[in-house]
Amino acid sequence: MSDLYNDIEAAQRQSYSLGLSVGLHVIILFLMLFNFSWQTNEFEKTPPAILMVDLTKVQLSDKTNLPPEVKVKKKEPKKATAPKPQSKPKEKKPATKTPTVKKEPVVKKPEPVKPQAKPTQKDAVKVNESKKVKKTETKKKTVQKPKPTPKQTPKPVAKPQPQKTAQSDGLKSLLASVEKVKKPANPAPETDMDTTPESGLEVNNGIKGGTGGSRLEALTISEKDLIANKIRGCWNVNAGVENADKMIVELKAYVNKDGRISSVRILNMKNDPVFRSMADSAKRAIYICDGLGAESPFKILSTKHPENYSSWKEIYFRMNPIDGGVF
Amino acid sequence: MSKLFKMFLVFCLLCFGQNVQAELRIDVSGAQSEPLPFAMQDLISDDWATSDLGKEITAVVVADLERSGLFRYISPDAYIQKFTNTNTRPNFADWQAIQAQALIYGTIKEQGTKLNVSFRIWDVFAQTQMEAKSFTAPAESWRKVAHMIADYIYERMTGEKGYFDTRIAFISETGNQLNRVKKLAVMDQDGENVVYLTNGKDLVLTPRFSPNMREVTYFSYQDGKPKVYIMNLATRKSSLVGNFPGMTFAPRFAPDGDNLIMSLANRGNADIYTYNLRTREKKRLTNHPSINTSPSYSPDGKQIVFNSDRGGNQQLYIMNADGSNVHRISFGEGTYATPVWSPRGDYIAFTKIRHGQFHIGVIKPDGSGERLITNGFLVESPTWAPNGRVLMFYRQGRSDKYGRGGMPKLYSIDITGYNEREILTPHDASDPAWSPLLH
Repeated sequence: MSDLYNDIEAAQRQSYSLGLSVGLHVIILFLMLFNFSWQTNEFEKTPPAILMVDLTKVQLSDKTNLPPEVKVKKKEPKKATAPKPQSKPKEKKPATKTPTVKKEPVVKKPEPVKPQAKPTQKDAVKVNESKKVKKTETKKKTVQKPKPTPKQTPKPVAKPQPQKTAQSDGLKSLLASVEKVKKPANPAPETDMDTTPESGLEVNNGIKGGTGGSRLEALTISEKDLIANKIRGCWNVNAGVENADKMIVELKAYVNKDGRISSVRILNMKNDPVFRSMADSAKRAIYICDGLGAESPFKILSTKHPENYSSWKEIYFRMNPIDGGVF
Repeated sequence: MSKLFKMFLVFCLLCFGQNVQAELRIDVSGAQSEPLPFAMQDLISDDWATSDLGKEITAVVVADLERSGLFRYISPDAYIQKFTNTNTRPNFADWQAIQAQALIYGTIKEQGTKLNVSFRIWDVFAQTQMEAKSFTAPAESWRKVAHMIADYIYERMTGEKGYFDTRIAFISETGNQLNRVKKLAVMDQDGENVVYLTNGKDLVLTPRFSPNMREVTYFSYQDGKPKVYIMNLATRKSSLVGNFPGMTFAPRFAPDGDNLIMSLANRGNADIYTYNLRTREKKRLTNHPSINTSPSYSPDGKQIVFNSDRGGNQQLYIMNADGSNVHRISFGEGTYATPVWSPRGDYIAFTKIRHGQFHIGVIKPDGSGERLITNGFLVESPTWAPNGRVLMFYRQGRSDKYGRGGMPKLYSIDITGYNEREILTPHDASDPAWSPLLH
């Protein structure tokens, strides 16, 4: 009886320990799942940073007046290696553009193949990897029917090449594998570029014409300088005004579509009569420049940027009579 | 949620950025500094008598403004629009066409023994009325009326106080170099309405107005003693200031008008004293075995600038009104003399002698920003206009061996060093002293 009780107790202990271990595993699995999902969330949080890059691009375009995409598109066509990989798959099989993208997982795997030359114990691992690859392939096949054919072709091409080269020369194979790793990365955007060459040219043409840049900024810096310089010429201030270097007049000029000033408002009028005189003279300068007819600095707005009227219908001026007075 | 919120924030930022960029922003640094072109039609009148007076008043206003160097008069020949009354609104295009930036027109009416003058100032390009004034004055003081109109225009256009309705005390000189007759005189700032206060029998020098314009203090050999005197301008009676043992000279009024500050030379030494005109109390401010002279109060009356050779050669020093905290402010080459504190307090004008040449310059009270604005064989006795941006002084050239030529003349100059102009006086003139603004 005692033995029986002992057995029962042992069985109970075993079942208890089993349950405990199962529970722990479940907890660990949950933790792993939780961690994994949390990490992915973190990675997912990075995309806003990519949006921030767009903001910087806007700033760059303010300064240079060049759309940021142009630089990328101009550089890529210069690469001589870019068109070669495209032609090769075309020659072998009239594959679509998508296979190039799917080459990536296949090409990455030849790298672990390189060690094969040295140790033989990793055969099992290779078998597992190949199985995994096959599994992924089969999964992809089920998702996309037309893709399987190109996937199969790269595998034999990719695998035998490293094996052969690894046998002949380890360094060469390494370099070759590295090149191949690089190549698939390039063809993808290149094919994209090939699909939109005309649009790229259009953008370039736009830049040559001087109309490129952000739509948020209607005028170039040189055009702004031109307006500022003309207003300097229209602004007459008495010499020897006390504390003139500290006076900054803020004005808002309202411009009609034809480039004529409709009204000017002093934004920071003060009780100080000297400042009032200075502000009046600044306001007068806007009107004097406006009265120059074809020489008016505001004519540039209506003649060169009529489509951006909303961006220059109100002009905010900060004016100081001393050179370099406005920072 | 947090992701959505961040995306929303980014969206808001983009929207905000778009709004900011939507407004064109332009910074303008620098301007021109040229006389402001203005048009002024003769004051309009109903009758011929006042019409002539209106023309004369207009001429005085125009002369005042042009003499300041800050205005340029556009000849009436160019005017397209003619006003017949002040209620007519300007046709701004007509005035813009002749590049007038300011337009002034008004009327004059005789009301018994008084004149009624009203006028308007227009900003031609902004197409707004800047000022409209009307006032009545005795008919005989029509020049004063003209100066007041000029002051209003000057103040409205420049933002600084005018200085046209002011007087100048000076020494009128006649005769050759060997036998000069010097009289104490007072005139308008444009050289008109000269009044002689002494007969020329005694030598008079360095007159200075009191702040209330009722007295003039000066240095004279009256009664055979080289002393400081004070004259009441209404009664023209003068009296000796204090009973000092030695020679008193270089007098000036304190801003309160109750105290005089001057130098007293005794036993080869000169120190600075104050004298209270009410209590007749004397107070010694410097006590140094050197020459300390030419004291001038700061506008707030808290400090005094003077010159002294205590450092080896004649330099400028500042001390507190009680004589404490004496410190040197000039360190340039040459010798410095006759410092005068600006009415607006930002500069001290002085005379500088360097390499045998006289200069008139300005320096900030902290000793920085020294600038020489004019020079000559002899340029002396700078005095400030009440607005602190124009100086008057006298200039004298070299005379020949017979004592001919080289007579002193009065000049005004802008603090910037530009627009030096001679003030025309009936005779030679020296030692000018500018009065405060009269209205």
